[in-house]
Amino acid sequence: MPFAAAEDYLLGRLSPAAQREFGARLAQEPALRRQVRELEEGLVALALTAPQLRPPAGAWSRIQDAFAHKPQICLLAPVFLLRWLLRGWPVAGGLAVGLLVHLAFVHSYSLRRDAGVRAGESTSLPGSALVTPAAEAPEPRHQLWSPAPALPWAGSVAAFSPVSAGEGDSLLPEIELPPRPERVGPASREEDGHGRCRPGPRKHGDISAALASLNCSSNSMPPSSVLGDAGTAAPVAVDLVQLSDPRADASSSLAVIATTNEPVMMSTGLELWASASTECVSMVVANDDLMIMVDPATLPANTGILTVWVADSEGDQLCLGTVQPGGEPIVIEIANADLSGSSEYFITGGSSILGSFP
Amino acid sequence: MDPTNQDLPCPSAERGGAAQDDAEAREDARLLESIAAGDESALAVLYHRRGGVVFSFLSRMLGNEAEAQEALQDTFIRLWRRARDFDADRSSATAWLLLFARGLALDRLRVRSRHAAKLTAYQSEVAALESALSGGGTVGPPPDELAGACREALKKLPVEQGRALELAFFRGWTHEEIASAQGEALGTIKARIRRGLLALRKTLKDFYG
Repeated sequence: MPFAAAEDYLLGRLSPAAQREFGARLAQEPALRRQVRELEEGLVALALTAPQLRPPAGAWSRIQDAFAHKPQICLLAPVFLLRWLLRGWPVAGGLAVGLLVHLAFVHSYSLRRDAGVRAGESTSLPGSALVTPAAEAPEPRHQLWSPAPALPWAGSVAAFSPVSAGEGDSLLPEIELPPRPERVGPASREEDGHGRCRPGPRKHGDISAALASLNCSSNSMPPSSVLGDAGTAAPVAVDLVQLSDPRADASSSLAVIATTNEPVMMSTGLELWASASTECVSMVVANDDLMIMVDPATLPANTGILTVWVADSEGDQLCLGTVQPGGEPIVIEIANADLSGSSEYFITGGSSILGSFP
Repeated sequence: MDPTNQDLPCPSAERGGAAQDDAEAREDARLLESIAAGDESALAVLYHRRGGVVFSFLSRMLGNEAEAQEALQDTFIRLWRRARDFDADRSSATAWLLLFARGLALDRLRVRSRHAAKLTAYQSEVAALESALSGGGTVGPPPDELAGACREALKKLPVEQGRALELAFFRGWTHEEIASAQGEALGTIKARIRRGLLALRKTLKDFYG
């Protein structure tokens, strides 16, 4: 069981559908239930091993200050700006400081309690997220902006494709993207019948072409993407895509700024972890037998030769063979595999996990 | 109300047994639900009850009390908006609060630097964890019986198992990074972490009978 999935479930960060699905699995799978309890109670016990400290005297008063002044959103500024500035956007940070000061003294915005970014079906990339406007402001038209996250491998390019959520026609037209090599996913807005947006079908194309095609606006703080319209109550669905080497691990966070013609409000962060691609691994269970196929068709051209292993949670490993881009897939059958959920297996290639099961 | 002028007990300091623990857990859950409903006084009460253990946990994770204070403030400010995510049917309030705080602390750790899973980074982190555990910092309440039992349980773990557990939970290292740094198979690391969690969990269960 991946810890991240259990953490997201316990924290209530999964999408409603994923939350229900995980809950249903818990009801049916005692082993999974046990592992979640191990995580929860183990964490509490581990936390108690920390030397017990008393919070500094000023800590609570600063928290109180955060709730004593309106607009409340301004109180989130220090952490946000620190991160922002650390990521090397001094111009944007300076602008935000000015705007926040302006907002603090001139405007009164009400903070939405449900503002923020929520994970969609998955917090890994590719995946999806729902962005709820950070505040309700007097002007009807606002845009949500996402400053690009700092990606460790590819410089500062937006990891988040825009999705239209404007009134009527899209704020952004759908972009026809050239074919691969990089996957990127501008998504169309789709209503799920409950007024919420869902990502539309993902397209393939070149990320630089996609970004070049974005016509954000003159007050854009590039690189950034328009995510949608904050004037609507509905969350904005954001299709999260992986931009670069799918074998690489990456962490990123999505910061959302809502701008108006008298800006600014902002929120918030969704931590994303992109682990290795699992697209090249498929598994089929038949009775007690397990068939694993590692298909190198999706591996990047520069992958080289990967030695693929299956490892169980006790540390035993079995070499499945080697794959390389353009080569033949590996197919292996494991008879009488332990699929009870009490064991966990990993398919690894190089230093990456390509898949895990059950 | 100024909770900082009062004692800030950790959960264990208030616990005298399973029944009291249940009552404490119910009260924490009720407070989170009140916060979700917009009750600012509930936030103050929760801070009074759990600010100490959260701050201790964050200090252990971040190894820096000043940054832990920022993270503590961040935790309770954000809690105001996220308390509605808590569901008592899914998790205990204490675990939820710690997981919530942990997520913010991990955010800070990742901003500091994306560590490479190299031996030097591993050794540096292990040294920092051991230093943080050995003392220093603001004087707080002495460890109570349960906290002492948990520490003993952690100490009794095989060294590499304890380190894997701490790196995963206090520093946010992935299992793959720990495996690479310890020169072990990934499955071995996952098994170590799981066995460590089981041992600590057993300490809690034994304590509460």
